[in-house]
Amino acid sequence: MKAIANASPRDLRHAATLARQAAAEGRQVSFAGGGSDLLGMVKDQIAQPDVIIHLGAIRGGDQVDVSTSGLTVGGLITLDALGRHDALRKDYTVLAEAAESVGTPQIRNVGTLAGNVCQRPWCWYFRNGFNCYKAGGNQCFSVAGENQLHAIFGGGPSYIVHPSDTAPALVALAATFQITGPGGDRTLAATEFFTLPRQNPARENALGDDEVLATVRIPALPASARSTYRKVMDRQAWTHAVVSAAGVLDMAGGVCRSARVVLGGVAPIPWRLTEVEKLLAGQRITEALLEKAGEVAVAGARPLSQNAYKVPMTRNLVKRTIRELSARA
Amino acid sequence: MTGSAVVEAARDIRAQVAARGMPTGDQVYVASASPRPRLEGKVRAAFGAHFCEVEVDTELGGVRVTKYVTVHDSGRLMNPLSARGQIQGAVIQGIGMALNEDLLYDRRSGQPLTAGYYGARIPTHMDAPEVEVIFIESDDGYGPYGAKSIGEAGIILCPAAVGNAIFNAIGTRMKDTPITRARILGALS
Repeated sequence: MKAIANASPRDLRHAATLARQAAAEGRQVSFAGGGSDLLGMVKDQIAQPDVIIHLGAIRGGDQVDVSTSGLTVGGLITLDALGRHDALRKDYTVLAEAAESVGTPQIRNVGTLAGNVCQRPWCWYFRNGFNCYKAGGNQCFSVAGENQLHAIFGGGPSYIVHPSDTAPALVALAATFQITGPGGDRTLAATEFFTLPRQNPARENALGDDEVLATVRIPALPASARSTYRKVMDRQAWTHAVVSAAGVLDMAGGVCRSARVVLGGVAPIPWRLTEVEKLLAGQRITEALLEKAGEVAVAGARPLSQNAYKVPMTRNLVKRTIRELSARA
Repeated sequence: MTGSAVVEAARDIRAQVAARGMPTGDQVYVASASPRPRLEGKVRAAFGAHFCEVEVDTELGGVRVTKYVTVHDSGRLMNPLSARGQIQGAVIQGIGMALNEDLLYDRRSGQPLTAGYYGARIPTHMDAPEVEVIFIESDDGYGPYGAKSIGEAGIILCPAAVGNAIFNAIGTRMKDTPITRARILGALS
């Protein structure tokens, strides 16, 4: 194995500066929060960094601040801490549930929110060393190959699905992401952060090579809002979503004031169902409306040769998630 | 069945030792025998029966094994505790074979795509149901101290038992493993 240098920055700005310097010297850079996924990728030679910039020792990068205007979460918080946080569990349930659905306890103990949001795809071609779009190549092997777990929305030229559980939750919560680069910070809406392969097939988000996801801001929800994360898995733990749904519903007397519904596991980005949200707003949630919502949810689906089962699965999961949220006291 | 040949050959060696004494120097006694499943008019095998209860989520295609009971005749048990663990472990593996595990290859390169503990989707502790193990310790008078086989006996029956339980639940025969969500949803559509 090649030698890898470790860099321990003082803060995120310093980390970004180190990344820019290393890149200027022609060296490959990887950021590590918990490093749980990076270690596997280095061992499998999917990532071959010369320098690993270790963010785990940065102080204060894992803070949670709750105020009346909303919630601010440091990107370096572990998924375990996120899933256990009392205020989060109560008022931003969808994020806590998404965090605790990730991987295994061992992974959640070290894996961070920012790392989960920015993790590379788990497509079996990418992870097995095929020179696909995600590895810098110029084809997607799943199209003519095994695509059982691939995208039914937003695919092309790459058909990966976004692997993060917390990402759909953050989009559903209308989060904004604060990004730190060598020259300063910038802010992006979660919906702008994730990018489709048709924009750049090698990437999943708008981060530059020398930028890190620093903080996530979530606006306060009305007291009448409730949220949940539902994840369909091939086994009960340690796997990514086949399909998942992050739902936030603001209910008043059986009527839905507003809704946000975002899917995981079906598209190269967290897939927001704006048409379903429009359909639900101002309506009483009935079985007939749920049926309609399910149909609207999958209206634009374009399955590949082996993943058409995701269409009824998505339709049913959307119905079930909204039904469950609307029935909650 | 191979075991009966091993026992027969071992008895042959014992007879040779009794007749000629223990081998000395480079001396080697050789014995061979062929498996004879119906030795002395009886089938000498390990027997088992598995009982499985499942819940099928007809909307999302998921199958959850809620209760599993096994009854095995593995002859006399040398170590009942580890024998029980052997069967329980085999059942969990068998459930993985029935529901999840699939070795997929890229058709053009032949490279496996679902290798490793993550890719193979083996069951986790969260997937393991309560597995009750009952033994019937018959002695067919052939194995050492009445012992029979236990190694793979616990895994062979699982896919059939799980598949039958799914048939009982949804009314469709599942003829291929793994019985994935895709196949359940396909059968129900």
